[in-house]
Amino acid sequence: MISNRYKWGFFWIVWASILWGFSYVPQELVWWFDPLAGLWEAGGTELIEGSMIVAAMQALMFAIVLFLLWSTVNGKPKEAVKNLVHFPVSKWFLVSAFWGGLLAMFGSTLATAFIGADFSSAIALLSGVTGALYARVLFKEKLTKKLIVGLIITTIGGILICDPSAIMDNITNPAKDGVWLGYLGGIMSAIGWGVESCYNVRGIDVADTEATTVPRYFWEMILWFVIVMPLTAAIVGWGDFYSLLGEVMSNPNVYGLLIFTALSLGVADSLLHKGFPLMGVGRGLAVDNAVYVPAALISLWVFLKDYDISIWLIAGAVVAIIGTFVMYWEKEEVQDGLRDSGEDD
Amino acid sequence: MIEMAKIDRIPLKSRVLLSLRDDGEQWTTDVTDKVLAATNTNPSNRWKWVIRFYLLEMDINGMVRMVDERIADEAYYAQADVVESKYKITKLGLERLEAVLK
Repeated sequence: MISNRYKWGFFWIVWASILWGFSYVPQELVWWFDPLAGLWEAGGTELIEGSMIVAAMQALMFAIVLFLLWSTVNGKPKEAVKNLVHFPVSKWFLVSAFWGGLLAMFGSTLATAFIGADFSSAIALLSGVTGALYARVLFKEKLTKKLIVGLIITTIGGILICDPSAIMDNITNPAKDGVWLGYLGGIMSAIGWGVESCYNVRGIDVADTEATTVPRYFWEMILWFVIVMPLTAAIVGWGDFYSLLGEVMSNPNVYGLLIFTALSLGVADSLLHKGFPLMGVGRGLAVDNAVYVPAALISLWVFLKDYDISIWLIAGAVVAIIGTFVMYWEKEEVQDGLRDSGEDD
Repeated sequence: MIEMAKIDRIPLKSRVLLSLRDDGEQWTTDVTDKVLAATNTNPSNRWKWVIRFYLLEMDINGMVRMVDERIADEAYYAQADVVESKYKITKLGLERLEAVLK
C-alpha cells in the first residue's frame, strides 16, 4: 500500500514538474509582445506594474481554465464551488493565495522580467527546503535523516544552478541597475511557494484534490484585482495604470499565452495538489524541484533558443537530482503515515 | 436546522470524516453507502472509488486510522480482490472536522 501511494504520488508530481518546467516558455514569451515588450526596455516602476498585471491576469485565467478544464472535466464542479463558498475550507486557499500569488507568483514574474526565465525557474528550487521546514512546523510532518541530507544536497544543487559568480557580477555591475529586484523576486518565489504548499495541504486535508486549485486561484484573482491593483493605481496614477491594463487586455496574443500558461503551470499546480497528500509536502516539492528545473531550462533552450546551457547548470541539476533521489528512497522509514495523528501507535 | 444547512455545504471528503465521527469505526463500503445516500450523490462505481481514495489519503495523513482489512464483496466495486479497510477517526481528524464545522 505504501509502495503504491508513493508510486502514484511520484507519478503525479513528475508530470506536474514537466508541465511546470514547460510553463516558463509562455511565461517568458508574454514579455515579447506589446505593450509588455516596451516595458522590458523601460525597466523600473513600469516593469513592476507590468509584472503585477501579468500575475493578476494569470490568476484570472487559471481560475477560469481550471474550473472548466480540470474540476468540471473530472466531475467535481460542485465540489469546487463548495470548497470556494464554505469559508472554513476556503480560508486556507485564501492564505495560500497570498503566499503563492502575491509573494511567489509576483516574485517569479519579477525575476523573469528583471533577470530571465532561466534564473526564475532555478531559484524557485529552494522552495523544497522552505516547504519541508514549514511542513515540519505546521503539520509535524516527519523529517527523517535521509530527508534532511537530501534537502541539503538539493539546496547545494540549487545554488550551483544559480551560478554564484554570475549573481555577483550582475549585482556589482552598475549598468544593470534594478537587477537586485529580480533576485529579490527569486527569493520571494522560493519562500512563497514553499509556505503556500503547506497551507494548500491544510485545505486539501478536508477537500477533494481535484477541486482545490479553483478556490486557490479565485482568491488570488480577488487579491490582485480588488486590493493590490487599486492600491498600486492610487500610488502610480489611475490613468497610467489602468490604460496599461487596458492595453495588455486588448492584445489577443497575451490571452493565447496566458491560456498556455494555465494549461501548463495551472494544471501542474493541480497535479501537485493530487500528489502532496500521497507523498507529503517536503518530499513532493523536492521531487518537483529536481525535475522541473532541468525541464524548464531544456524547454527554454528548445523553444526559445536564446539560452546557453552552462557547466554550472549541468553540475547543479545533477547534484539536485541526486539530492532528490536520496529523499525519495527513504520511503521505508516513513512507515504508516506522513504525520503524527495525535495518537499513540 | 442551521447545523444541517451547514453540513450540506461542507465538501464530500469532510462528510466522510463526519460519518466516522458520528457512527464510529466503519468499513469502507459502509461509509461510502452512508455518505453517498446523505449527499444524494449517484452511487456509481466512480464515486465509490473516489470515497475509497479519500479514506486512503486521510489514513496516510493521520486523520483516520485503519484498524482492520478484508476483501470487499466483488459485486460492490465490480472488480475482484479489492481490499477494503475498517477505519476510525483520529484526534487529528476530529480537530480538522471541528474546524470545518465552525
